Amino acid sequence: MKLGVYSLKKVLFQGDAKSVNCNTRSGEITVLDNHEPLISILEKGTMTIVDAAGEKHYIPVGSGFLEIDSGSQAKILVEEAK
Amino acid sequence: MKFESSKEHYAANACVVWCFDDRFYKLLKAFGKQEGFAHIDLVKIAGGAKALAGNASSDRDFVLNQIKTSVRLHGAKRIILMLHRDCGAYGGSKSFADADAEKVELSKQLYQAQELVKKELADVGGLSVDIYFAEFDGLYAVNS
Repeated sequence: MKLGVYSLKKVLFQGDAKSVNCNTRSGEITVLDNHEPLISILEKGTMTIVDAAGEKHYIPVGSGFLEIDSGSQAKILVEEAK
Repeated sequence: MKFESSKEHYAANACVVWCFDDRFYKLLKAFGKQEGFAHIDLVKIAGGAKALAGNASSDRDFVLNQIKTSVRLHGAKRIILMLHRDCGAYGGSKSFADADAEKVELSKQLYQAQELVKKELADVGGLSVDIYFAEFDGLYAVNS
């Protein structure tokens, strides 16, 4: 999927990803390619992104918002955890 | 006008609370087709699930009673609550700082509506309450 993770200050990740795992209001979810269109409020935790090369990226999240559209593009806005 | 309506009673696949904004009616039809709904009980009102997200009010009681009636009369086991982009009941998109803020705020409203319906129908076994945000490019499930 095409994934962009943004905070108010900077781009935290932008590129192809195999999966993204994060904490939501109702628990932990893992999003893969071709996920149905989804929006979710993120809660505090560490987001784990596996990029196209299989490398893991960890982003501490204080709160945020995730959106996956029907074209397998995901946008995540986060407030970084302090 | 002459028209033959079915006299058969039915079980509802879902009770759907949807905004009466006609821009999203075709989306509802497409969603029903995707989900394979044969029959739905449609509560089509201004603001969709908005009344369920606010404080106690006659509107809230009315919508809750419609849902309960669907469950009681037609055995609906799935409740679908919807809000949408640029809803007049919220003052339209211009009432929010930007497009993302609108989506976040309305998602929170959907969570509130969902919690209320789950609480009010806690005694109904096997009930699911699903929440959706309608965009002009499609329907987004709100993770819950």
